[in-house]
Amino acid sequence: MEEDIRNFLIVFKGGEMMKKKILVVDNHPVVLKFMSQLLDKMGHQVLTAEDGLSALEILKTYTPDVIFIDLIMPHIGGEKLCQIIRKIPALKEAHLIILSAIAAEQEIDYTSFGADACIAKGALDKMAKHVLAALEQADKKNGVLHPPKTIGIEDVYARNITTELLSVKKHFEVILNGMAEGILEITPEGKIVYTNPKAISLINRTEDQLLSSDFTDLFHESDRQRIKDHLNEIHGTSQPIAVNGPLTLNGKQVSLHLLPVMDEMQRSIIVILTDVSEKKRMEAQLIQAQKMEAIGTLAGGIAHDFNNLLMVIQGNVSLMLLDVNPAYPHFEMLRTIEKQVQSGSKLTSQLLGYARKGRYELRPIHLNQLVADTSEAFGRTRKNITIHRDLAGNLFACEADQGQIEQVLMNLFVNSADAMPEGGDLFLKTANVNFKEIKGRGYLPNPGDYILLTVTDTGVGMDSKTIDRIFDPFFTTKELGRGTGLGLASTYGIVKGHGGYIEVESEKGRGSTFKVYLPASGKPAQQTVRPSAPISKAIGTVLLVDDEEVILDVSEKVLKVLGYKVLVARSGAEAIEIFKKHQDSIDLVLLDIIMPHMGGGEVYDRLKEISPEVKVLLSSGYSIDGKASKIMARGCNGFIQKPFDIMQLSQSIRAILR
Amino acid sequence: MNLKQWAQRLEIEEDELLEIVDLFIKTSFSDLAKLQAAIEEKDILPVVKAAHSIKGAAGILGLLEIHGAAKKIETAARTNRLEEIEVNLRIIKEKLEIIAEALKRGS
Repeated sequence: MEEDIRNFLIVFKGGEMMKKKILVVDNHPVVLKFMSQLLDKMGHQVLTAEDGLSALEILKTYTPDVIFIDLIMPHIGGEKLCQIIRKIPALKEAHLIILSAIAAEQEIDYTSFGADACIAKGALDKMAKHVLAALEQADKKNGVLHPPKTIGIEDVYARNITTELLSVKKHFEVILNGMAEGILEITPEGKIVYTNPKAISLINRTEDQLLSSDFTDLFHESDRQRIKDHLNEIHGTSQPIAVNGPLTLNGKQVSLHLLPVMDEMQRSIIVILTDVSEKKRMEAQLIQAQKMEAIGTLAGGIAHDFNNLLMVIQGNVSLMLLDVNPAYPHFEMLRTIEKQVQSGSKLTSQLLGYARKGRYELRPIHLNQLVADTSEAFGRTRKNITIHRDLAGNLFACEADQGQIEQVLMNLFVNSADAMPEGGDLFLKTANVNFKEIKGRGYLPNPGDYILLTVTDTGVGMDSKTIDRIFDPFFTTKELGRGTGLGLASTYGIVKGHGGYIEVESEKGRGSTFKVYLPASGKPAQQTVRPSAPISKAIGTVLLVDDEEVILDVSEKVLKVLGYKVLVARSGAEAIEIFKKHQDSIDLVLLDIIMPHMGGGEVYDRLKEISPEVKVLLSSGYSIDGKASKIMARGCNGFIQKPFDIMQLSQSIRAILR
Repeated sequence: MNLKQWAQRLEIEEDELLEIVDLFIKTSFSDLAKLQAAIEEKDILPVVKAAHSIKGAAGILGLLEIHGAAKKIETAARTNRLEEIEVNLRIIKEKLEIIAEALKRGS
């Protein structure tokens, strides 16, 4: 009697302890049925799921004590499922038991993915025993068997085909893990069941956060509907779809390739996720560069025509001024016109500078001298700015066009001064640097030495948005009519045209610093030319060559006023004819570069053939990619830029004929 | 085909066995159909998968002949031995029909 009671108590107590909440996850209905029956009979509560995805759904509201998990299942396999479950806090105490049909082919290190035990699938009676043993183990909470041993492995035998399948699977894993594109698999409902490492890193979430979550949730609200529509489209057509965007994921631009997969019962979609941010950025850069080039060509063309135009105005005004004295009623007006022409010509210089078409005369110059002279002249016009100069004594020379560098300096000074309307300090510094010290925005400077010019002001400074745009042509922060937006654009063009670099640092309220790097030259610097000699009458004969009637007219008058005898040619061919006839009496040829039929360059070459000692002064309002430089390199004696006034012409001619 | 003995061997109740076997018949015939279709399409992978599925379930139920035949199909599929597949396919079909009959007769 006592024994009976004791047995009863043991069974009863045992039953109480044994009653568990169980979840069985397996894709074969027969296994699910068998397990349900078995566990139900033992008094446990059993729920079943066909795959990892459904299991996770059930686990949202069901907290089992024991979970049986089939290793090989579609829509999130056993291993992954274990890893995910192990991360769910509510299921920390759950006992995970792997059901394995491949136990014989592979060593299942079930502890490595968080499982507590492993049962090999086999005949029902044996399986039942193993299940019971596993449950007892769970009850006792013995922890893991050492060493991890699959229960029932003795009853199972290796199957070759499975080994083969597993090896193929490994190959695909290697590919999927190493790809540069992200691969995801989603169910027709849009739930993620697989992600490869690249997808995980592109999306920047963990694998368990992603698995069983909604694919469309990864995208911005405004894009979700579009993606959903595509997914629906695939259901209907079963055709691959490329979604090229624009689509943003995690701050990157991406493109999607949606590929339907028909696999027996299962229809899922493979998504290939590609990061196209880099490609788009380069496309944008290319378009920008093309735009800039187009603007440059346009600017250059306009500048040329303008300069010719201004030349005529300047010439006529100069001639008029020669004939009148200050008492003349219109004297002031003429002077005003002259000043305006100067302004106009400065503007065209800016345009040409921006278009990087201003490489005319490169000479080794002493930048310190130029900075000192230019800043002094500038300082006289803005008395409320204190200029501090720290110019290196041993500064390298640099090959530059003096006029253009003067333009750069003036632009920088003017900008700084405008940032300090109430006055302030302007710091100018020059130094020698090595290319390694140039830490630019990602570019690698050409090797060698450079000279660094730093222009710092204590003005209002700029915010980062402004900084991004300051070198853009026609961008200005000044009111309409007060700024052309060309100053820094032309500065940039000139610096780049000289093979240099320019950087800016600024903070709103804390002033700005511009850094200009110019390649150093090994040659010793030449003294800067200071135009100072007065106009005086000259002797000699000049052959004037230009295709534009008005320019020819005014230039002839100017030359005559200066005292030269003038021969006129309206084209290259005519120039050669005249030169052949009069070469002995011609002292100088004033030659325009841009002419139809035969350009200045060709004319020069032909003239040189006739008389190698011919003296030629080139003139132009515009140079195409250093055309002037090329002709200069062939031995031309000088260059003068239109529009030029009488003084400039006089000096240039005298310099050659000296 | 003695369900009672079968149930005893597997150490489960007869009515439980009945449920399981019924399900087994259904899923296996479905797998067979897929197998057949895959053979016509000359698509190996579904053949292997279907055979694998039948083999697993048959193993659980202790149906060694069906289990063996399914295993042979798996191997043969890889090496394209069509006749071997056909032969074993017929064996499985026959066995399944026998079991289905037994179930219908309700013994």
